[in-house]
Amino acid sequence: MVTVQATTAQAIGHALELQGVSRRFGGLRAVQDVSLSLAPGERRAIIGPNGAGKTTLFNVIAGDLRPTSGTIRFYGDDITHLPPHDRVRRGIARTYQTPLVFPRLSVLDNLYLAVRGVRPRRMSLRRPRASDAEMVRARQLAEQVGLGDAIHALAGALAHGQQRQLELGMALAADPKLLLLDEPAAGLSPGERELLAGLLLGLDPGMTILLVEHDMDVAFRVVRQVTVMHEGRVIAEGTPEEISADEVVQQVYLGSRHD
Amino acid sequence: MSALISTRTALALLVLGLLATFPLWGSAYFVGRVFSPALFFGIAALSLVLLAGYGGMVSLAQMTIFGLAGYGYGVLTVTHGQPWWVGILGGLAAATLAAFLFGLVAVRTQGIYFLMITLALGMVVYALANQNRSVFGGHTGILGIRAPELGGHLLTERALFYEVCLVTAVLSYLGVRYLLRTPFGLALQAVRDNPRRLAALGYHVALHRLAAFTLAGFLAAVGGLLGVWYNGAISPTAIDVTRLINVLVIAVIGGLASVEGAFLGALAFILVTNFASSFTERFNTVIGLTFLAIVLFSPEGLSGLAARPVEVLRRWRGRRWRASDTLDVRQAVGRQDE
Repeated sequence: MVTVQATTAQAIGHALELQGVSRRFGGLRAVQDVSLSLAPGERRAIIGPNGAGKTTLFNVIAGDLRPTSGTIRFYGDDITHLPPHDRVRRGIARTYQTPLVFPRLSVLDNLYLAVRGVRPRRMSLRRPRASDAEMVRARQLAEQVGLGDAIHALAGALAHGQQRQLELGMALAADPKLLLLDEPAAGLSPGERELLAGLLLGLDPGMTILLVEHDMDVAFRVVRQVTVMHEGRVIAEGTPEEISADEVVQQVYLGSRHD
Repeated sequence: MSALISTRTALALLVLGLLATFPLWGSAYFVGRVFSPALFFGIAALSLVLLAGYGGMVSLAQMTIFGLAGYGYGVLTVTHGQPWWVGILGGLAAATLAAFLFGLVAVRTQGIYFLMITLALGMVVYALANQNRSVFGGHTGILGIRAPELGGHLLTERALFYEVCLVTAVLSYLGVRYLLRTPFGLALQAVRDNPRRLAALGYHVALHRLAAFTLAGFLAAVGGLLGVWYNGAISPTAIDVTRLINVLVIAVIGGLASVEGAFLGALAFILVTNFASSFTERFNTVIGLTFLAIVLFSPEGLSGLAARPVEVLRRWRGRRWRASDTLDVRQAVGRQDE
């Protein structure tokens, strides 16, 4: 097993820290005793074969699922039992494996809702104006993720790749300290992958990013640390180079499992 | 584009002008017995359209709230002899409070469970009203309810009542249209599309649903006051299961996701009930068949039928998100086994 300590993490404190997190679904142990810590600004990928528990772990961090046991800390605060909407307000934003956007609302309205969600007056009954700070920010986000020309299109009418861009924009609306990306490159064309990698590399270096990815090309270009999961457990951690060379990882991916 | 908008505005003004002058040229029967009830039932249906079409909450309790406003007004003005304005305030407050309490119970459920819980709540109120004599007046209900007087005119004089209904309906219509463009209304539509995603953006979904349910309750209560003035009495029949379902039928006939449809549906429903009942005793069958035809041939209701060319275009454009919706379901199922 390869273990690499992020030496700066001790000094500053962890952005995200998981201690012995497990999640069971009945008899199925989807995530078992996972401990993980991310330094502020760290970029890390979680990889692993299908059914390794990556998405479950993600849902536990984002609050969509509660862990069966273990604790989750965000900048030192215990957030294990916080509901998802409180986590977003604290600066944890996420995207989903399948882009989840609001199909019957326009691109701009999707982004506007995302901006509004982390600010006060979410239930405002005053109609927004184009000059409102939140509307301006929504337009900026549309430009940032390359949808500046499509703001009035219905989100449901966008192509898959564009929906991913929109979702990323919605996640960035929270000005997150921690960005969780669930397979951001899935279903993207090579050109779109290029665009995505560029977008991610261009984000604020202070933003901590944790991503789940099957596509090593994108993942290894964006991250500096990799965690490998298999059957609910963490089996290796290291730099992309170390992971590529790791024997256990190769066995998991190339098969020594008897399915 | 701007030419199109001004055409629409011109059309809207024309319709409004025709409606406003209707008592001058329309028959007494149509003014008093068709359009007036269509307007206040339309307000009740509008509250359901807001919840179901834009919030994804198919409530069967809207007519219960409608009826409770009437009971509130009746109890205060008849039983307790209070002036009409106390009746109005009390009726609105009681019905809105009931909506809030119903909401507390119902908003954490979704889909068919939401429908069943609101139906159950409606049935509880029905049973209570039917059996409680001291407040609800039991099976007879409350009789002799008088509408407010305006400058010596009783509000239920045909033309006056019609105009009051029209103004209230237009305000409700514009209010809902406005609401849907506010942060609150946008988030409500997002609740309909994907509550989990909305929570992940920082919204408290249950609270949002509760607020919407209470607001829609207020709207139904406004319709309920007009209804009780129109009838001059209220009894448990006004909130029995048939009435609860009728308003859903109205909303679906008009188009569940159409603000205009609420009123179109109410008008169609009242026309069909009035005319079919003069031809045949089985007017419920006629309504059932009308309902079936609309669900089969124009799922977006009468408003969808009226806007057919636009609808075809929208459907063609909307094909993509429908495909991705199916994907979402598959993905959600797939996610279970990770």
